[in-house]
Amino acid sequence: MADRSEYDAFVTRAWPRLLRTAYLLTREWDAAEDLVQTALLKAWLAWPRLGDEREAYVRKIIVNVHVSWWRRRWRRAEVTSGSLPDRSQVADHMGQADERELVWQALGRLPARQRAVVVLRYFEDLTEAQTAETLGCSVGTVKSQTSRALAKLRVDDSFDPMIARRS
Amino acid sequence: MPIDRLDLQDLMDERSRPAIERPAPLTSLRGRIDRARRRRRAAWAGAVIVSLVASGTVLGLRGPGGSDQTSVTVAAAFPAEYTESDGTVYRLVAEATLDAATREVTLDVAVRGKPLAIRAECPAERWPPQITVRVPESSKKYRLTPTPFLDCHENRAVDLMPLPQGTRRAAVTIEAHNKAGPERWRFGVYEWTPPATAKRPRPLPEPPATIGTWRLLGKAKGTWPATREVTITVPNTGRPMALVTYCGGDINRRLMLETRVNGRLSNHRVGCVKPGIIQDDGPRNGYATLDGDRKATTTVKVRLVTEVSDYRHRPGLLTAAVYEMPR
Repeated sequence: MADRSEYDAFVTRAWPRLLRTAYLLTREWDAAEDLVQTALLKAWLAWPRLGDEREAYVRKIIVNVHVSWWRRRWRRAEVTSGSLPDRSQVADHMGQADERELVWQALGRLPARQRAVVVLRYFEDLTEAQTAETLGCSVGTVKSQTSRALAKLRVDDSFDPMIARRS
Repeated sequence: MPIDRLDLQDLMDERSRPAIERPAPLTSLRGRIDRARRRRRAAWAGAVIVSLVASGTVLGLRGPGGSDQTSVTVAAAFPAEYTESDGTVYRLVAEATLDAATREVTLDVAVRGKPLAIRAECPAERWPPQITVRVPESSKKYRLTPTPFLDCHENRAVDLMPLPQGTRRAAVTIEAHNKAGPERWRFGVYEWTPPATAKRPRPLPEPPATIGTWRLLGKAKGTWPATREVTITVPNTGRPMALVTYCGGDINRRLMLETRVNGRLSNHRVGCVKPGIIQDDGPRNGYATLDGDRKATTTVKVRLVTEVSDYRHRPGLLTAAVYEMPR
């Protein structure tokens, strides 16, 4: 059984990683922090029941809460977000958008579930099975969502990052 | 030209990297945990009372005169009237409850030309009810403002969008989310009157010289409603900059901020938040990264805005500060 006295240390340790994931999903720092805090609150309530996979548990909550928020279009309203357009948006406005910028913008236009698949697969480096487990869907759904998302992002699907890293 | 997956990975790594600079908001998180624990305790106490009511005869919980009518108040009612710290008086005009049996309720509210606001007693954070207001001879739906969400954290009244001039009656509809559980939500519709003499809020803390590794470049302060906009001009060194804003007084989270950077209006309005969060945890709420352009200086204008005109009679403070990221 997990000890609640370990909770603060866990939060401090895991916060930057979780926040990065949440930011890639929400693209607003305040919304991302709100999302991570929401997930950590749920984790605190379930803390005694959590095993060693605490971070995976919190990440799962982050992804699924984000998808439900997105469904409700909360983030499309003018929320008290505290975030101005980030650098990329400013750059875009200034007509300095490059290819990476266009991909970043396209990533932001993906439906929440597809964006989550991209973040989990290519940022978190999860396997298809782990991604399916996190999202609570089948591996087949992960495959199809990934394929659709990469097509929209104009990512070369044939390129294997592992080969690139080794070369 | 398509990019490859490694580029995609690098891009996400680069864009999310500032997370490393943002420490865990333990103070804020502990506050949320404490509120959740209080809600749980209250829900548990409510359940105990309800079970006592169910077995009231056995326990002798009878009404006066030995009648079988039992009257137990599960939670305190909304106050008929209360005054916020700036002197604004809130007066209860209607109440409603949603639960498993009642999924939607419409209140017929008399409008006397004063702004309306809604307070909620939230048993859960997920799936809060939706609130819409309609007025006679108009198809427009009015909602909460500046954001369409109830304030379940601080239990404060959230304003409704201003109704057309001359409105005498409004139908306030509160509808449970279709995924909401059997929790019992309570609502109080209030009208509010600004203070005849505004009480000046407590002064705001000065922006610190550094927040984490970020260095203060420039700051500006203003007193609402006399000052609606503050301007900060800072040298542009080409390094990333951050704008921190915070408000004092009861305008917190009720007024929004519009920001212009070198004359360019930001896409998003943001809420004005309390300074404590920033002071305790570094640049958090109210923090936004900015990019200068090729000009020698960057001018940031921050303007307080609201749909509800009566806020012109409520006092508030605004502080804005621009910080620069170290090399």
